[in-house]
Amino acid sequence: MERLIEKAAQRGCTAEVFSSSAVENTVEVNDNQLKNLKSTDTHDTILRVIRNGKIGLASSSRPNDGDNLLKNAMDTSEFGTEAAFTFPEPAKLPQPEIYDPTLESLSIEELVHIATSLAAELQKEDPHILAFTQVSRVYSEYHLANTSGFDASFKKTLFAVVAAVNLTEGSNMLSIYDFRLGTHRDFGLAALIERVLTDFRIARRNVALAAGEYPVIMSPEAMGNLLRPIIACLDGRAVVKGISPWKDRLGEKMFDETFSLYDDGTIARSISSGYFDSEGVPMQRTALVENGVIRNYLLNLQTAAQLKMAPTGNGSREGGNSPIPGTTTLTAPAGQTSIDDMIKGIKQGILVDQLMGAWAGNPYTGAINGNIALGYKIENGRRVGRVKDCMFSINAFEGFKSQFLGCSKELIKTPNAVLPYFLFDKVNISG
Amino acid sequence: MKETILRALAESDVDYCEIRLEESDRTMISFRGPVLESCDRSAELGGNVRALYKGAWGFTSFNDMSDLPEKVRLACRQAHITGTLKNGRSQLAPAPIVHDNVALEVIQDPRDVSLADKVALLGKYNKLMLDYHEAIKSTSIYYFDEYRQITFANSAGTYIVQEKSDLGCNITAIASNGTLTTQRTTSAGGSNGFQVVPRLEDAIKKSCRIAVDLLAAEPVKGGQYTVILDPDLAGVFIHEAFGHLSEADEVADNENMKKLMTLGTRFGPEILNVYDSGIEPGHRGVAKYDDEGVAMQRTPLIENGILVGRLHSRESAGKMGEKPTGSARALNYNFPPICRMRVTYIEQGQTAFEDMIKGIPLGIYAVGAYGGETNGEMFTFTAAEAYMIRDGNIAELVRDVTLTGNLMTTLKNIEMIGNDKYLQDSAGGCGKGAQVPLPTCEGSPHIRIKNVTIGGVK
Repeated sequence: MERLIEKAAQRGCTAEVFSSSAVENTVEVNDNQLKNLKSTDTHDTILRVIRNGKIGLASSSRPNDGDNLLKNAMDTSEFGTEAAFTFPEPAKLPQPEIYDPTLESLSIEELVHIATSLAAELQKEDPHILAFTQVSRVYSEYHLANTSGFDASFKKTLFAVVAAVNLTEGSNMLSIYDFRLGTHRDFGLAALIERVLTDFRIARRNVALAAGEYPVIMSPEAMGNLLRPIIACLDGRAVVKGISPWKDRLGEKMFDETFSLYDDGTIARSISSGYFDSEGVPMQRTALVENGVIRNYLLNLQTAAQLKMAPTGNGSREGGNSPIPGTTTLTAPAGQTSIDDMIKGIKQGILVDQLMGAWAGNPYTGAINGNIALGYKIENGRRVGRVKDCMFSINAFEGFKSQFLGCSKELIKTPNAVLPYFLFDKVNISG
Repeated sequence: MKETILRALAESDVDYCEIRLEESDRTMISFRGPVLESCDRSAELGGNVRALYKGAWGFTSFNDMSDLPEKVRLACRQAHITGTLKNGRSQLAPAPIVHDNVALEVIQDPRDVSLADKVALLGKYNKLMLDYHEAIKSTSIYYFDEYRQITFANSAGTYIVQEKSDLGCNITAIASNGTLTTQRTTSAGGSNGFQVVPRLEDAIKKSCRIAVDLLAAEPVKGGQYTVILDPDLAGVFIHEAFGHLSEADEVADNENMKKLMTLGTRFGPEILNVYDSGIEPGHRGVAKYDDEGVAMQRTPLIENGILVGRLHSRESAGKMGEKPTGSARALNYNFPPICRMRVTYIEQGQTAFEDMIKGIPLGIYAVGAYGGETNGEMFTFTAAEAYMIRDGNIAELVRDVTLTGNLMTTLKNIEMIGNDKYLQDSAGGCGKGAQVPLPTCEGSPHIRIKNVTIGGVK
């Protein structure tokens, strides 16, 4: 890695090398049967250069492919974007707890045992259901070095367990799933089984729902869909290009003052945490919306420099090789009410657990339309059955302004968020 | 290499074993607004071994190719762990033993077009959009091309080297009036060369006009409507609403799904014919062989409204006593092949567009796709552009049109099928589990469906 940096410097470039590697073991039980045991051992190196003020970039998974990387990066720099930034210097890095050494001692046989015994527990519920379980363990390592002297690395683990039951009766298909995940194996599975089976028992009964406006509780997972337009508008690229409606609106109150949203790459044991982002900027906690006021954008090096602001540690390579602004762990403050009490407080409403297709559409209008893939009708304070074949519609911008009623006190970990349940009033349901 | 691969396979001690090695080179170019946002090249070298023992699989993928026999031993060891526990029967449908070397068949090899020429052409499109109207505040262009060489060998003796080309391009005009931002995308793609990228100017100008016009459009009123889908959106509809259900790996071990998907069951009206084909020249998702070395084919799924086929891997076909269809596809070397679509389409019908729209007092004409999703039972997708139909005529443009429904009832609600089939390629792809985006293509004639639920805020 150092040699590649040196070689690039000799060619008159400033440069950065980001390498990552991952070793993953996954066991899958599908349709009640142990089907697959997977292992992957992968690595990838990305070289980014700035030559004559322009960015060039190349990646390779071939071992010892330095010369080819350098050639490709030099070639693409001919056409590259003007770099508004310089590579960051060494900085004090946060060191959230994200590595669980005990995961190493977990044998493949034990992973298989967890997946199969979990499936067996779920199958006890009903001979007609098909259980799906998946257990994964991942070790990953990230290393970044650049010509400004930054040279750091960190290791991370991931442990994830997915449990699902599927039931097809006639043309009625029901799928209930839940998961536990984190960088540590610090959770038991009894609660996971209990949650899946409780939901299954309720959702097995389909109930009718008239179109209309209802109070709706959104699960932390379904909330990802509602936050998408907000994230899209806070994306530094949308701000730079002027397509975000919130350009020049930092400090303005846009939402109800009870709504706050943070991006936090330093939460202990969250799988999206790290020491630094994929450009060598220290991970941090960033207030995006605080008490209804827009506080910050999601910025990588390039967009931060273009906006003359500080980068927020959100340089992400999730979508490709070029770092773009991306979230780490989205989180919102917990409320006062338990989810059970939230349900108890609703006379006639819906709990939306999963939305389908709500990610599609133009995010900048705030419009969210999704099919309720899994939702429960609430009647007189309890979930009475599953609602189907109906569409959920809300405008996220309006929703957080005038329909938002509060959050649960429980915070739930999803792959890229730690969020409570959210309650909205007068949500439009058609179908 | 061949010797090494065959020697490694010879060491396998399972019911079936295969090795798949991939080498690929990819170029990506993106524009956002007036500037070129990124221009990258990536090179991949990787492989996997998949082993089947007593009905369960072991799979290992890697970048380090140095010790192939050890990878085979690892995959076999994993298969022994799962297979011994499962103690089932390995059921792979028979497939011919193939020895083949499939050279690239392209009209204009993307690798022969210089990076400078690609950047210049896309830059020209970008400028065309930015200059089109003052309301076009930004743009987004995503282009990629990829060359891939895949070597596949299995313990039965098949050995195939296959070259593939893939290319996709999405060109989006983004209009804004300060409070509202709207967009419309022009797409192109294919498996046989760069020639699909030039000469898109007219289509791009049309997209610009729609993006600008959408600024003045009102959101649609939610409710139930008779809907006409254009070929692009109808293609996404059949992909989402039916295509995924025909993937047999979701059916083979699910007795209730087998009942639901019994061949001979009526799924739609007499006029409905649906195919999934791996032999439509030039479209994305097409190849001579799938990732199990089975020749791709045109697979009838629905004929005259009746379910007649499904998309098989060797395992799903073996379990169901049917024939493999060349539908076992993997995103890349990090994944095992699973049942996937290739080019999915509704076959051409009889009805002219004028006859389709005639007689609809209040409906929606939905054009172009902005993504879709299914969970097997219900589907949803969003139109890129949509118009109200009033008294049999196309009326005002409306926005935020998302269609949803139960797939069984919606297929039966298809009333008319047009005489104007078109297959649409794009830079997008299909997702199933973690394997996304897999190159696929879809298409259809215009179709008319009654009682479609459209979401929308009142």
